[in-house]
Amino acid sequence: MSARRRVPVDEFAAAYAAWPGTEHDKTTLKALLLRYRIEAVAARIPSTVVIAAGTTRVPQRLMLAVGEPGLDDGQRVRRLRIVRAAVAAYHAICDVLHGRDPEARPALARVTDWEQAVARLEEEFPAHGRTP
Amino acid sequence: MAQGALLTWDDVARAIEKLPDNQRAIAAEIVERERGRTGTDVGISDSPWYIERAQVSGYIGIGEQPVSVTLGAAPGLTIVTARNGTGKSSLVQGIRLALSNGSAAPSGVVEENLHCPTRAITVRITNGTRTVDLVGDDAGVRWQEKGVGEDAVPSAWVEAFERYLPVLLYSELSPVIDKPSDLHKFLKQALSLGVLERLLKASDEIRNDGTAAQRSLTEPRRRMEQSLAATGDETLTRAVLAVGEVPTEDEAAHLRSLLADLSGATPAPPPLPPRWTVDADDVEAITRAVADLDAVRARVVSGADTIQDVLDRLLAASGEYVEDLRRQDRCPVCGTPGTDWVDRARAESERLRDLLASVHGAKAPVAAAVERLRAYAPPPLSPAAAEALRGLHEPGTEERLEQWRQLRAAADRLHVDTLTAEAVRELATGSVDLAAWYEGMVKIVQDRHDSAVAARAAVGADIRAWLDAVDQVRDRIMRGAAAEKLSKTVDRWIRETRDVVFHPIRDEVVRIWRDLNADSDLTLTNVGLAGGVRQAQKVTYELAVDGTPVPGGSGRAEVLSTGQRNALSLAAYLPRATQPTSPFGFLILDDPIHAFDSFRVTYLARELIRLAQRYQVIVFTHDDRLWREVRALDYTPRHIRLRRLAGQRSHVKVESARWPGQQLLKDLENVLTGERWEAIGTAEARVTMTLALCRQAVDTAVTTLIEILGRRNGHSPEVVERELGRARTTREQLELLSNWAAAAGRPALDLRRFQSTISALNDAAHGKMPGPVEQSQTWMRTTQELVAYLYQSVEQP
Repeated sequence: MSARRRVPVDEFAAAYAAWPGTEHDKTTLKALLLRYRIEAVAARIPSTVVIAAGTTRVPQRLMLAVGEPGLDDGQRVRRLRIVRAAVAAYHAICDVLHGRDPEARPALARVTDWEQAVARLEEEFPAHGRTP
Repeated sequence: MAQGALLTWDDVARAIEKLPDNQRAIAAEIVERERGRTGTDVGISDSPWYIERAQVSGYIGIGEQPVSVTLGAAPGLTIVTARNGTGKSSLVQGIRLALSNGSAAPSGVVEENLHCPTRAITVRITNGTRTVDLVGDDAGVRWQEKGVGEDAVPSAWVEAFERYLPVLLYSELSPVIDKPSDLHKFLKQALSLGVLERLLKASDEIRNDGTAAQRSLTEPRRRMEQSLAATGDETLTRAVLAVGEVPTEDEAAHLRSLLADLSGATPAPPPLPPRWTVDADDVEAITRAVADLDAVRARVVSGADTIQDVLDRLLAASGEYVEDLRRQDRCPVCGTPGTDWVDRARAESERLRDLLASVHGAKAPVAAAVERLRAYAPPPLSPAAAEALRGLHEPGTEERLEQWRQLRAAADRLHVDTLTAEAVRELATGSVDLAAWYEGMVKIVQDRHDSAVAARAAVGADIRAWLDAVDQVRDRIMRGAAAEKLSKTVDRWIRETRDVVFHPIRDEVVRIWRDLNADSDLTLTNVGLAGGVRQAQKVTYELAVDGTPVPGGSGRAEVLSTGQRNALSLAAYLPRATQPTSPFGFLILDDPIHAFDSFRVTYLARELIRLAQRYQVIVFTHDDRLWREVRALDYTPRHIRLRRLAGQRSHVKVESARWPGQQLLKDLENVLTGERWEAIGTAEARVTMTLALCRQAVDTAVTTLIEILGRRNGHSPEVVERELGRARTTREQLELLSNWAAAAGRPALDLRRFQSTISALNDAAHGKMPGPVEQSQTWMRTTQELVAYLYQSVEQP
């Protein structure tokens, strides 16, 4: 097994599902899973937009995707809305995971909102069978 | 004289000693009765009381497995942290239920636990010398004192709980947050002076009974006054007026004696002359007789009787000279002979005699008529009778009395020689007219006299009936009068006591608001009390922005944010709960930092630390913000954490809280023990996620320490927040912590031995497996060491 291997998001999702406790108990873990998912999307932003690979500067990578060539105005507005929601969720999740949010275990309602934003982001940037 | 705060029956009992006798008697009666009504008082005066421990099961969200917290029974700050849904509010409400003798909070929740319907709550309180368990179950709450036994919860305790409300739930804060104009609800019970209000109510009832008793005298007195006026008895009237509306027993006896004298006397009728009538036929006969006499008189020359007398004397005369004249037939007057004067004189004498006889004959009926006519005239009128007629105050009476005088005078002047038919008619006509008037006047006089006689007969009964009615209600009226004065006194006591209670609270509300909003340009300029003693009380407040008053009305609250409304609620609540007269040494707050920004959490932490010097302050909250702020202020609170453990028998675990980062690691360790951990997904996913959570624990510890050091280094909450915002990564946060630790005089952090672990945690946080799975235990152990090292370096001397 190699060191520093990126673990597939599906495995994280499976681990989350098998983790003890109710969804109320596991909101921190869900936030972590969502961050993995956001970073996975950021990693597969088309090379036409972002040349550098990896998961650094995730918000910037996502925002740059708004300017992807070939989008008409309507598509760009829609993407902007989706990306903004996902970036907001990402910042909030980072605050939780970096201990800046006084609620170390966020409320399920917040996590559910973040998950919806992430799901829309994943729809906007489908994996196309690629594993980041 | 100003009276101090009168909050208990003992206070009132002392105060009434200074009252006048009649008021004191009534007040003492009320105090004795009300004291008996409030039940046995086992005494709570040897306060303050603290909570030693509390245990709750079968109540709201707490099931069969009891939640038990030990709270220390001493001044100090305890922070109970529990996540949402743990049962924190259920525990607080259970404690409140027992302490308040079963008075549930207005939370609107279902109090029964679905899985354990049997409620069992025990709160142990102590004041150092006495220890009491307040035991609550479905049957109620009992007061179980060690070494004494079981009793009902003392009424003084229950009343004090209502007054000071030492346990405040969020559900009680929220109405004021939603509607700040309801601020008075917080202070309403603190200002409701139950003892004095009950005294006032009881006094008012006695006063009202006295008023009703007095009202019952209205009708008897009205009847009595009417009878009295009808009698016109001035002596009796003066006597009745002198005694007032409610005569004393002596005065009533005096009046009754007057009535005894009254019953034997009958009022004399007015001294009026008898009425008279005029016989019109007789008047006509009189008129005719007078006319006949006039006709006869017309035939008789004046002096006829003298001539006839002279003639008779001459014819009867004797003597030589007269004989010569008779013989010579010579007139004795003119001397002319041959005149046959004797015969002629005799004949003339006879004629005159006859004429005079006819005149005399005509005079006789007239003389009788004069007497009859005089009887047809008004009788003589005495001055007293004239005055009696004047006393009737009928119009035209004076003119009639003058007519009466003139007719009477005319009647007195009647004489047969001077009477004329005209005079007869005038007198008769006037007399008929006056008689008709007098007839009416006599009737009025008689009616009034009859009424007076009747009234005189009735007045005695009416006055006696009135006096009897007075006898029946005199005591009630006297008590009512005394109670009216007592009510005024109690009214004044309530105002004074309310001021004594309210003014310190008002000052504290303004101060606490200022302290909780130190960074705001919005100031609470005044808190006032509106409404009277018997009217609903309302607490008003005035706000100003930069010194400009905020206009009144419902719009005033619009300027307040939710956090500021929460602050306003707490500013109103805390002074109420911490009045010097409170027997409670404890203060329990449920989620007081709701909607507070970091500034207000800091301000509240200061206030709670200040309170914790005198009170056992117990704060339930759902996150660590308050704990961090308190620690940042160098105060070490007792920290208790409630954790709900999932499983077949879900229950709440109570433990002394660790530092936030350590706690997260402990939580993680509890979840991932033994074989369970092995069963979670793939090893890489399991380890990666576990290490990511470890990094959260590290970052939580770091940010906690940054916040604490930031405050200690004199940075404002916004500076701390800004710096934390800049330090986005774990390494940046560690660098900030290291700098601030150095600024606080702490040794520099040496993180070299933790670098590989920090890198591994960072990789995991971004979804990368940092190395061999077998190393996971090492990373986790090193993480625990890292967190412990951070706390030790920063917090321990």
